[in-house]
Amino acid sequence: MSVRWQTIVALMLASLLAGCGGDTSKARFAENSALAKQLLPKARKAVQKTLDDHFGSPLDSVAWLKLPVNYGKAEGTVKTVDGQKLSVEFNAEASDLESLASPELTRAGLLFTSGSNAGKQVLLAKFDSKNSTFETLPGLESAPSSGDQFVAAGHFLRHGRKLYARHCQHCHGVSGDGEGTTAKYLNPRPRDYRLGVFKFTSTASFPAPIKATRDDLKRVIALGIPGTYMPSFVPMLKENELTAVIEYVRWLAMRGEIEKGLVTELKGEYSKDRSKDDGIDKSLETYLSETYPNFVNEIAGEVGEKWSGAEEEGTPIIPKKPRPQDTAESRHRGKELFLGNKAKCVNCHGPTGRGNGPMTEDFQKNPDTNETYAERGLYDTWGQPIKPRDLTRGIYRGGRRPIDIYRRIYAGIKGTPMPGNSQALSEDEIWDLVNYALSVPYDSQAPKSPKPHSVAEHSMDHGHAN
Amino acid sequence: MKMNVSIKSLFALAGWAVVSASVTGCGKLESGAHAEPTIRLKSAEAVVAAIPGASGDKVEVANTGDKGGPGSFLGRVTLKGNNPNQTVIFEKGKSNKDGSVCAADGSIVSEELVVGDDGGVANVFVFLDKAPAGFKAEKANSTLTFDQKGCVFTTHAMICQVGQIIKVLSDDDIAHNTHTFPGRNDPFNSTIKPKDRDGLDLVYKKAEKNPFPVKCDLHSWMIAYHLPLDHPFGAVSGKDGKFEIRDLPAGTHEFRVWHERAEGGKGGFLERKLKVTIKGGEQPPMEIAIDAAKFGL
Amino acid sequence: MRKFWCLFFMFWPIAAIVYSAMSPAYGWWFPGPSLTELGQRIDNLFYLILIIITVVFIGTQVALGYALWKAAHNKDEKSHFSHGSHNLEVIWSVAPAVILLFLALYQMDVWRDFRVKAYFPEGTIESPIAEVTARQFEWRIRYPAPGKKLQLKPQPDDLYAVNDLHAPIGRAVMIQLRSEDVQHAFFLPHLRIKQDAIPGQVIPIWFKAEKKGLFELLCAELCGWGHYKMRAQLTAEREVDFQDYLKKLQADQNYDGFPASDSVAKKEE
Repeated sequence: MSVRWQTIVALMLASLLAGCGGDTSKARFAENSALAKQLLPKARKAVQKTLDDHFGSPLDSVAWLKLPVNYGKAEGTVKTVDGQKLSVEFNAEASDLESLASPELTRAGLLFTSGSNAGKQVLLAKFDSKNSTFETLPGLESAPSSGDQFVAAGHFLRHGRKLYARHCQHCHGVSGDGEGTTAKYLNPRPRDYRLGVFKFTSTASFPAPIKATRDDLKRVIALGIPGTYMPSFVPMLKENELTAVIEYVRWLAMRGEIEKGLVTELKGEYSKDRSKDDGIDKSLETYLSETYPNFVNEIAGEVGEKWSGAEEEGTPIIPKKPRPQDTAESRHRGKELFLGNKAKCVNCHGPTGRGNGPMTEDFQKNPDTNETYAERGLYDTWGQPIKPRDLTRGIYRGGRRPIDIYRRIYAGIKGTPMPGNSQALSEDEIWDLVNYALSVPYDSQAPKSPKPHSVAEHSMDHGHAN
Repeated sequence: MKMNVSIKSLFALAGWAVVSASVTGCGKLESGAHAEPTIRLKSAEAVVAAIPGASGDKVEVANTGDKGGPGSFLGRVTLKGNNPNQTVIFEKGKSNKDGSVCAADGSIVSEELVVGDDGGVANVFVFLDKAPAGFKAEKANSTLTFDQKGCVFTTHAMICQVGQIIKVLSDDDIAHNTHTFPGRNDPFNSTIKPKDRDGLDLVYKKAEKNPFPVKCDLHSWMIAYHLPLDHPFGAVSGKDGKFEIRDLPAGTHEFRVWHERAEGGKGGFLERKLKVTIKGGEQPPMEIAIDAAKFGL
Repeated sequence: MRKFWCLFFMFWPIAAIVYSAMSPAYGWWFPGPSLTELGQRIDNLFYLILIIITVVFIGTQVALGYALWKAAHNKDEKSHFSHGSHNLEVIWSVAPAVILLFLALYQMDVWRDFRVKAYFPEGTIESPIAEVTARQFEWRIRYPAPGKKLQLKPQPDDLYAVNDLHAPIGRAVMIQLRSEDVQHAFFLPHLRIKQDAIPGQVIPIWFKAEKKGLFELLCAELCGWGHYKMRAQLTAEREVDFQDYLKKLQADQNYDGFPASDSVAKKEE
């Protein structure tokens, strides 16, 4: 064969092999580099190692049972052992037995909590619900014995991971950082879960912001967010799929918050600009071996408590009075509040509700770095420019029900400059504002207020553009 | 080299092309949505037994008890260099919003660097990073007030205790929106009623490592700084640059000195390890002179 | 060698025909019989065209195969150099033209019934049941309040839903199709309805579902990276169920969170 032919054949053989491999089991969660770069390199590595140990990587994850994530759990005792088949008896209260029959159980984990294998774990192959028998994958050095207690978990998380990879990852990113491949084309940007802050919640923000509930996240996924690129995923996702993906998102949010907590703690003493300080390395070593491990548990506990606290009874904001009649008087009162000194909605939302209030002209400073932002206007906690809502459009990102608007005004929108007004306005006043806000898109169609117009009001009405 | 192209070899070529094209990309479909993740478990009880003596970072207090009882740390922070003038944000009556209240009685000036005529720098935070070993903090039962008037926070720099109630008040006829941006605590973001003299309760549950900004989302020039500590050993310098920290245990302490214009203007430490030895009783005040360059001048 | 090429060229058309004949057994065919009468007529047209082209296809391929085979076995006979045949060219221009003209005229009534507003069934144009707005990557639906007529401009009491279009069975209904951003296409495979959504236009589509059930609503115009998952569903239900659905939607939409005020929509769904 001539040289040319040989080259061509060789190239074809090479192309045969191309595309093979692509080993993504090495995929890792991205580091929050904006935060972590402030640390000394050793401190940075320590944080990464902690996160790897407690959360793993996207395809080889760790279900840390300390966190209030519903991994899909079953606890019980081993009854008989037959090779890799373990026949078990469940502790019914601590176990979600129905879900165990799911195919997602393969490669979930079973951890022994007592007996010769205490602290060790094995991956599961499947579950036979008729005989209450687990079949495990090989991996245990010594066989378990009857009476050993175990915890089996992870199938919800696995299911959530696969759904997330398919539906959410390309915008929200592998680690939930809102930096997926399509994210750079989107405005507004996809949510970065790692601050643990979600905007459209039903929970309060005073005296302290309460996390989003599972229902809140479910509403967002089910209804989408009109006016943004977040679409509705129902009826595409079934009920159990929604639940699984919500758990996975919460898990990612907790991971991000724990990372932030660790970096914030280390940043005080072990920041990068101290690399030339005497004794800093030794001090860091001592800290990492003595205090740091307890701190990791402490911060995980705090984060976990906040998330489980959101699920308690009574966290969604329930008005103490029903919505009053949507009358012209109510709207008129709402409009006066909107424009008046008590709530000062005009400063951001503008006199006609167009979202063009004077605050959008000011240059703001980044509270973290004290630098002035390049563009005028308001910014959210993620550092992105954010515009006050244009109420004339009739697009309500957090939902268009009266209760949704009520909650926005009552508790504000977490992560944004929209404040909670629960301490400044009464319930009646908030309902009047709700009635006004919902009427703004139809202002020109609504019957005029029965009250005689003052000159000021008259000019405001004319100023309104629909 | 002349190629000998026969039908046979063309066919062979086509065959190879088809085969390789169909096999190419047939790599392991172990990516993204098709991958089979593994879940390992980690139990909740992973607490490392506390090493005796290491309850929090130990702050070396040399020779406690030998050199006398507790004492005070008095000091004065001064600026070494030219005294800058405070920038005027709005002249009197020229506020760009809510002119009936903001800048109505006087101009609003920036408080980011307040230097007295004698060079004393105000609003400098001087504090211990951690309580001295063995110190037990008492629950703070006094209330602090944090007021705002004429669209300016009346206290620009404030140290408070963890768990202490801070009443956020307003002395203006318009709504304000006080919004804190802490590092470890939950943020506070609420509208404050006009002329709210009862105030809203603001409580910090955790100590912070450095002061953080408190702003008003309705008036972007309004800013103050809070620092919650879990011990009482911190003070903010006054208009003359003077500060006083009382009842410090005897021994050598390392203080941190923080100002909102340090570290290139983003707020940071002027000093991280200001060593002060307390010998009991009154001591001569310490002069802390800081170069103008450190304030970004 | 020539025999080989003959077989090679004959293999593919035969494989195509076998493959197509097997397809329905594997479900690679229509998603079941059409749900609408109009759809059935569209299916009939499809079958007519399929029969015509199958006959032509088999005919031409058999002719090709015959020519190749004859030539393969005939090493001696020299090919006849033709200077073209006018008659042949007329035949093979006119015959297809006639067939196409026939098809064009034959299908006109189906086209008219589906697309020409003047022929829409009674009662559809005056009262569309919903406005369906396609956007990347979902379907937003706006119903008028129960008892009211759908207006072009959104009304304060309009009802909104996402990805879940309800329609009553047994009567002809119409929807207005719009697009918020780019071109999409409203595709109901079970009803054989397909219509592009053009931004800036309001396009009427009518249909009459005969049976109740849940049917897919897909986007059939490549509209971006999420086009493949722009799936919604059509719930075809009895008229009374449809009205109930609208009432429930209204109650949900007016939900004010106050516990006692709403017995229908208590849950935060």
